Amino acid sequence: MVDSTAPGTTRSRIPFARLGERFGLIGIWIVIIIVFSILEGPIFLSAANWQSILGSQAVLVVLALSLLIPMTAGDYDLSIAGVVGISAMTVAVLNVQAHWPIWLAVVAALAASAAAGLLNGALVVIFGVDPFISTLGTGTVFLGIIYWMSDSNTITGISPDLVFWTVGLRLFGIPIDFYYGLLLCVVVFFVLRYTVYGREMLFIGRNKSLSRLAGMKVGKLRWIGLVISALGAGVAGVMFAGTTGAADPTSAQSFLLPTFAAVFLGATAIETQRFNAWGTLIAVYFLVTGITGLQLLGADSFVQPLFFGGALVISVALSYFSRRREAESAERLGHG
Amino acid sequence: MATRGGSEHGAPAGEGSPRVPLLSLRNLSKTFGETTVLHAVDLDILPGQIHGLVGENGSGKSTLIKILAGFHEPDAGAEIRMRGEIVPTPIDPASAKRLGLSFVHQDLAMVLSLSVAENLTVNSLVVGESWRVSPRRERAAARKVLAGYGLNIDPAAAMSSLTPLERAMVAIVRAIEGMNENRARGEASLLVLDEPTVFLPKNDRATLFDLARQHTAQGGSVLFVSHDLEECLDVTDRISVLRDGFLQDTVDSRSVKRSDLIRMMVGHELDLVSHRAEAAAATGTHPVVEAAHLEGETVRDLSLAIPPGEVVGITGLLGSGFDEVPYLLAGSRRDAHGTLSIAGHDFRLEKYTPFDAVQARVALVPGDRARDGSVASLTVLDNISLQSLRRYRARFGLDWKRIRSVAMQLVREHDVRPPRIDVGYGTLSGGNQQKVMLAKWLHTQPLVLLLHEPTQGVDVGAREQIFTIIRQGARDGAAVLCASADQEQLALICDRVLVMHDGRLAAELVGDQITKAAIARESLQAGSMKEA
Repeated sequence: MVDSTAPGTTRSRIPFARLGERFGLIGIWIVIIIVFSILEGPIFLSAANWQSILGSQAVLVVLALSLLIPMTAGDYDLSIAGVVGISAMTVAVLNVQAHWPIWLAVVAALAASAAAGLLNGALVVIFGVDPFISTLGTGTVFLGIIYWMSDSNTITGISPDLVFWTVGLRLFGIPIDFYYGLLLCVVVFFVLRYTVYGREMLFIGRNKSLSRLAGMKVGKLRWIGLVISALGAGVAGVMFAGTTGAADPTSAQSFLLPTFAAVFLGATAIETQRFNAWGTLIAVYFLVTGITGLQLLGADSFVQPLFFGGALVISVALSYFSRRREAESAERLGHG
Repeated sequence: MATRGGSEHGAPAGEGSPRVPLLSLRNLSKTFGETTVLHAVDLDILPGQIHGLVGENGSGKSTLIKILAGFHEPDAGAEIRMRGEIVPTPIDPASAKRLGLSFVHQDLAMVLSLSVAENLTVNSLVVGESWRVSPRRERAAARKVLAGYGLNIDPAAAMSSLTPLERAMVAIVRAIEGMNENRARGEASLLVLDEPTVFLPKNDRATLFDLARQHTAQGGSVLFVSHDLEECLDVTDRISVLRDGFLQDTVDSRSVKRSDLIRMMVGHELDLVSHRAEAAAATGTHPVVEAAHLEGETVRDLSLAIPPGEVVGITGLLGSGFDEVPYLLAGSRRDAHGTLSIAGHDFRLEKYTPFDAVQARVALVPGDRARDGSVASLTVLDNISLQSLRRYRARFGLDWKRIRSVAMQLVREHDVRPPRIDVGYGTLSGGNQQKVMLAKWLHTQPLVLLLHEPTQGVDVGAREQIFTIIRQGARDGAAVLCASADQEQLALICDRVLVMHDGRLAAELVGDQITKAAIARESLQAGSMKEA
């Protein structure tokens, strides 16, 4: 809501509003947890349910966190879902059909993902194509490659070792891949906040002309960003193959929208107006909590797209709204 | 001057009673929250006049314009009359147009990727009678309109291919044309120019004012908002001064003294002190920067050398290429030739990039802060720390505690107001934004400091402070090059002034030779000499 302009309230309201903005998402998260606990009691609050909520979304967490790096520089990477598919399928084809040892298959999958990132970067930096368009294109090319690699078949029977190191091993009852996501969150937080690279990406995202004049090698840094997101998507793909022990040509595509929803929703929390790691992590689990709760209530499969799509639209709308309010308060200082 | 009677709708103003104001504001106040930014302003704009509105940043002049444009609703009790007729508030943009109010804002509101004709006709698209658009007829109409104002601009050209001056002229023509209907009804109309000249070189502005005069010659009025006193005194008939939301006075431009105006604006008289170094202390020192045979878009065979501690101004008329020089020396122009030596490191301009420049400790404070120098949506801390992050790395990543304390110290040293680092950069006034830019670069201890119009969009008070900061940078050992069309500014801060013409060096003024008049004379003479 627009803050009231009634005299006497403005001074105390501003810090409160700022706090509300930063932790609002956590607040809403707590509220929906309480609501679902009341509605469903023991099932929702059970350890098993929470283990499933936390453990089931590691692929999405890794994907969203990796996407943060190019997004900070203003580069949309729409090919990440395609790279997840390429990576998962590479693991499956090499391990199951070519009988490569699993570790070598994983290394090959990551190399393929990095190559995809290099291609994206080359299109953006050398040919100057808008990443939104070029990654939309390469993502579809990657999908084609997946069909070609797999002959449009689902490949099952990936080494149980990979499955063990993804979801088999549990810590406090939660699959190990949850902790991978947590670890990556710390790393991405560190990169964005405590490294020169992260700061440079932030400025590139806000003003490329300034960044160039400030002496940054803008093209190189953006290129690195796109390789990082592809490599992260590669890791997510390996984990995706590990969670099911199989790879199918299409299911990776369904990660695209939830990833963007998490990234944008994440930018409304913790460090508002900025893509940030903790906000993104919270956004993922917020969305999953909502979806799980509604599914427990008996809602159908329509809940998931409704939730993810809604989150994307609402978070983007919110960020525009608060940016406009910031502009207005700047104007109030008389510098309009 | 009571105009309460209120003439009938459409009654020709100006004819019978020339003193009936075209626009009349009474008791206009505006309060945001607890802050009142306009206090009971009374203002009359007479038909056929160019009326100046001056004031420092934060004086309330932009709020006043925004009320007229319908962005803000004035506080209750305000009365706005157009040709004596009461205008309901808030003014909605459609009725503003019908009443004969037309605006040209600083950003000009042009779509650069579209053609001149498309930009000119965008307003009539909405109100046009037909749903069909004929590009050919559009272009023909645009050509006729432009020719009517003596402008030789191709209507089919992309807006982006025009010079800033031409863009501004198209914007003004569009605004004047937008009031055609009022003219047809015999009503006078008001053209509001909201600092459209800020980003234009001084020399270009005269051309714009010719357009404005065409409007007043037809009985219309112009409200000209500016912080440039010189310009205001030159072109207006009357000037109103705002300070801290109060209208100080409305005076006759011909009889008012510049110093009186400044006193009204800032509340105290500013001494114009020369910031020139006492003696030419720098002479004899080996130059820190030496450029030879520079070639750029306009620049031709330019060579210059600056020793540490010297402030060199570079100026000239529009198109002389002086404003290209800092960017050439900062490596930001792609098609550049020549050689450059900075503290013993040699570069060839073909391969010289901003990265090399920053490595060689060259600092550039660009003229267009918003586009090339800063990020308004980030904080002062973010902006001020950008260039020195590498200096404050601890074992584990950036040492934010150090960075914050250094930033705080810089903000205090440079008197940035408010002295806070967590506020949005975009909320600062132009002068304070520029202080942050200078502080950011000076903290890198540059060997070469390149400035382009360092006081553009900066209010009178902060201007002096910026001069002091620049001089301090020179005292700390930087070789300073300041490209500017502001001759007064150059006369105040420079040890040496280079005057360019047609991309080449035409004259050099040193020490006491440097006066505003001398710079102006050289700039103009250089031109006529070449032509002779």
